[in-house]
Amino acid sequence: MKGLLIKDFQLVKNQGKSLLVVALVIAVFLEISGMDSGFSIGYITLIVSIFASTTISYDEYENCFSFLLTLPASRKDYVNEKYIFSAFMVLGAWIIGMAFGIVFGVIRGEEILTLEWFAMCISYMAVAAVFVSVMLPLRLKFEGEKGRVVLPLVIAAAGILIYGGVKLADLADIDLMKAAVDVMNRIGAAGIIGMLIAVPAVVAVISWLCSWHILRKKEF
Amino acid sequence: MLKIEHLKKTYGDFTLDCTMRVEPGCITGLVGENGAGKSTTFKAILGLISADSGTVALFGRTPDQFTKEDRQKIGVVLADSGFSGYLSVKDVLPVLKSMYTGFDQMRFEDLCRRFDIPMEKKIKEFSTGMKAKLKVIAAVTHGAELLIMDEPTSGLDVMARRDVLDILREYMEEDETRSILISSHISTDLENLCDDIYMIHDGKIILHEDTDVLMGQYGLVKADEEQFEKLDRSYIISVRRESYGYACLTDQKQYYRENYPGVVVENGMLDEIIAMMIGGERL
Repeated sequence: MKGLLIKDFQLVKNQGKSLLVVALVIAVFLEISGMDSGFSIGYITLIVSIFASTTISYDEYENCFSFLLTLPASRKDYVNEKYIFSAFMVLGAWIIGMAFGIVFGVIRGEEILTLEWFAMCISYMAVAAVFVSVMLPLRLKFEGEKGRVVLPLVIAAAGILIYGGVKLADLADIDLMKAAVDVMNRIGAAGIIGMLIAVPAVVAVISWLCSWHILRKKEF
Repeated sequence: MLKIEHLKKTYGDFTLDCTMRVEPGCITGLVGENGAGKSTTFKAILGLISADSGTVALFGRTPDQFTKEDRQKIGVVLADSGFSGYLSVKDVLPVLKSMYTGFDQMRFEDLCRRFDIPMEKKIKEFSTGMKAKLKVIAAVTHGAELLIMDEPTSGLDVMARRDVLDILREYMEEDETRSILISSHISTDLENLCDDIYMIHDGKIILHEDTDVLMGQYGLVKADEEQFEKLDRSYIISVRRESYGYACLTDQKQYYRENYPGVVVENGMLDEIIAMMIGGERL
């Protein structure tokens, strides 16, 4: 598995470098234009998490997948490696994003390093972790062109589900915003942070099980 | 070393039913036209596809029982697959080093230099010949006991093919217990390299013979109508109608040379043998 990790980090070195630079430049622009300092943390983390899942596309390029699976690495190693690699990437980007946010926060004299600020930062990582967890099995299931079609479809489906949920709540005369605020008040900041860690962890475990099932059955 | 017994896999109309062996110290060739089942056989051996029935035993284990140690003992070249084109050879080096305990970096770099493989350039910018040579170099530099190579010379010019075959010969010379299973549709490559050859057609093995026997005893008897009528067909394997009469594939060319002096008997070249086995009418 170490070999597979090295391969993906080599790909990051070759392909991801420019992506990170672009993300940082855009983040600087967002900061200068007066955007909330937390926004660029989320932006950098999400962009890098998208890249983490696209390394599967690099493995599929010119049918490389078959060859990778003939190396001394099992299919399970491959799945494990993708999750470990993605965790490294998301965590790395999140730390870079936070450092970035802290620097701009200090420059702008904003109040940072508060519990709310941390909760916000963790929420970005939670979103990125859920995003990668959804993308990895989808990328494994739908190769190449199909994978590119699936991404917008997933986003659209998620949008429809959320919109549908909100509409239904409206029809049922439930004030979602108020309900959410009530729940958050009840569990407190520590509870929210706990939830932000627990939910992505559960999603990641379900995602791993799906990815393992997909790759175990996959024929090349 | 490798034993395949009635390996079956069905894709729509196509059914593979393959039985073959690769013995220690031998180079075994698998020939057949495109779509005959060569790649399917290789994929099943490597566990890339699951067989419908039958067994594949490599070092005594089935593909789903393969351990990482077993995989260290094989070197693989696939026709249409290799390292990601977004990597350079320099990027691939630490990957191989970490994957294979027996990886010989010095030999790898030596071979890359000898065959003009650039270290810094992205693999996707390589020529077909460079890509093929890199795949073979990666397969032979970790002390594998068995090479499994699907069309390693496909799409290569004469010089590049010769380089690839040279690497394979050197690999065999280093240790006489090593083996190679190689497929190709360029039969001259296999004629000069293999100890025995399997011929596959429409998913079935239709011929298995030592290369010496194929080259020494197989031949093409070319007879006109009259000669063909009088011909003893005991040693004729297949017959094809030609403008001059009949072309007959035999595995006893000496018999016809001695007993039918008026009949033309040509030495069997693998291409001709394949064409006769596939296109001729079996007797």
